[in-house]
Amino acid sequence: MRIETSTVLTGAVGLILVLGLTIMAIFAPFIAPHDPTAGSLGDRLKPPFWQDRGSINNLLGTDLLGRDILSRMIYGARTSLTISIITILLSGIIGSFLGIVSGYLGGWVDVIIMRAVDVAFSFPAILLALLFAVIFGPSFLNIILIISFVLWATYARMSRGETLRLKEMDFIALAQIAGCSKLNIMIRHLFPNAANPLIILATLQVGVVIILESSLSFLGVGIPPPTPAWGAMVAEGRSYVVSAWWVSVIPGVAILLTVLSFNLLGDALTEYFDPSQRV
Amino acid sequence: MEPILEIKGIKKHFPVTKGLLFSKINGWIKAVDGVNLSIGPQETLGLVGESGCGKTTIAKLILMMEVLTEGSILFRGKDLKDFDGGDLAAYRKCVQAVFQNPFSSLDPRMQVGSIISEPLWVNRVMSKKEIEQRVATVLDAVGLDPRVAKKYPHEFSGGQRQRIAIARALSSNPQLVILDEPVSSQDVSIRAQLLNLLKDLQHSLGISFLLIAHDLATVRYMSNKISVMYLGKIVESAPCDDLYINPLHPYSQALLLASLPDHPDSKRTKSMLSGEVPSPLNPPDGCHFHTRCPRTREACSQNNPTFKEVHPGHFVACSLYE
Repeated sequence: MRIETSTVLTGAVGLILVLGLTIMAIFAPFIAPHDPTAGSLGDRLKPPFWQDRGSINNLLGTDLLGRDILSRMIYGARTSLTISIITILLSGIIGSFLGIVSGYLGGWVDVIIMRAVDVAFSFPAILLALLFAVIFGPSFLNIILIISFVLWATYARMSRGETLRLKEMDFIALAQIAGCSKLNIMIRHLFPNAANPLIILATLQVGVVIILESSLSFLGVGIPPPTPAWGAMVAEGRSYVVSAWWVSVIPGVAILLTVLSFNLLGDALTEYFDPSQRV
Repeated sequence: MEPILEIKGIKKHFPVTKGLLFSKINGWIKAVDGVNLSIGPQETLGLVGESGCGKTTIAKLILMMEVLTEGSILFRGKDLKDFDGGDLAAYRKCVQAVFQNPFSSLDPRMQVGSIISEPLWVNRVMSKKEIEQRVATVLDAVGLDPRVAKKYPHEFSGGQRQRIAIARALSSNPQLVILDEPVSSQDVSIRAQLLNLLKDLQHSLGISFLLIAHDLATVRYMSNKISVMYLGKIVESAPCDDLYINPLHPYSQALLLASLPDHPDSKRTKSMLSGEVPSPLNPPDGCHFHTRCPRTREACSQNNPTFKEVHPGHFVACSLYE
């Protein structure tokens, strides 16, 4: 199997960044120099250490409440990654199964699920998420549920497509002949074979989830304070973008790098699992 | 001896619908239009005919992948329609299949051992140890190293994959195996190996085969008796050698003439048949074959010939013999 060098490099960069982020998130209490929620007003709006009034004490400066930006950024990774992973597992597994059920069983089940998918797609994600956040109120659990509700349809559509391709294969007919129940066929045969593109999709969706979550935080209906969330951090520094740029820009760069690294990984996986190598 | 499988007057008509939401039935594709067959223990019935004549539909009906429009299929005397849960489970163990394409017959994500033992663990009959033992036995029977069980399908050639497919079909100790073009995708040399394997297995395990094929040489080598199908109906049915020595129906005669001669030097006779197979949506009146038959007469376009026994065990549906 030929793998292009560019694919390997892309994948390696993506993977390293993702791993770095994960380690940072897991070991946040050990890596972060300060308590992310503690700050004294006397220290407010100190710039990063390489600028004039900055100090090594706060490498990336402080925000308007005197909290260490670096520490908040590190803890923010926790928030973003936890939400992404849980959301993607939830929406991915449920969405994928609905798609497989829809594709394999066909008939009315298919019609109903596909119409639901169409409805989910017809709303801009951010609008829908905003709407639900306002109705149900922001909380850690709610954010996960809301974003899952917005994103499940992507998986459903993809897994349905894969299922339609797979169900004509002889090994599915043979499973039926052997006495496999429909549920068994869906779990043992359809899901594993549809998995590759779904995994790639999941990787690319991490970026989408983070941006959605950050947008909600930015708009004030995301993770409630004082939990550090990158989007909220960007929002906090809105009024100081020119004078104290680091308050918004640092978390913004964090969002950028995280989404980029997952996208690089997803792109590499897409090329690796080239359709020409599939069944 | 009581036949293992008896097929009586089966018909399968597929509706052709028009319209999306409130569809209207425009016509019927009469894929199978009145077929009688029977297979005895340790016997091979060859079913031949052109593509689209309904052979594969019959296989699907036997395997309960499609529902009969009319008629009945009896397995060991019991009608498939009357099966309860227990009967169905037993049926699934007794009747297995091997299909044409070895590249889509095996789940690429499963180990060979799991693929082979699927009929066993689905029905929860054996313990894990027993299953492993059975897989090893069956792999050995098809001429593969038992260590192959841990590998994946993509590591094997087409011929080897068909062996794996055969091993799977044997794992539940079936009485009947439906072979739908089992060797047509293989090279001639591999074909011979696989056919010999199947013959040996039939001899040692006492299995019956329904062999669906369009290659007459394959069918002749394997079958005890043969049925020739045309456009959903059986036109001739005879013990193997009788058919090859004395084909009665003009279609059978044409098929035999069209097959490759035994020796590369002998001349190939020009085809007796003209035209193409009519659409199953709108088969010709009377005898379906009359539009292409070189010996057609006036009566052929009006009357459907009856299926008569002309010699012992040799049946034909043709006005020439009425």
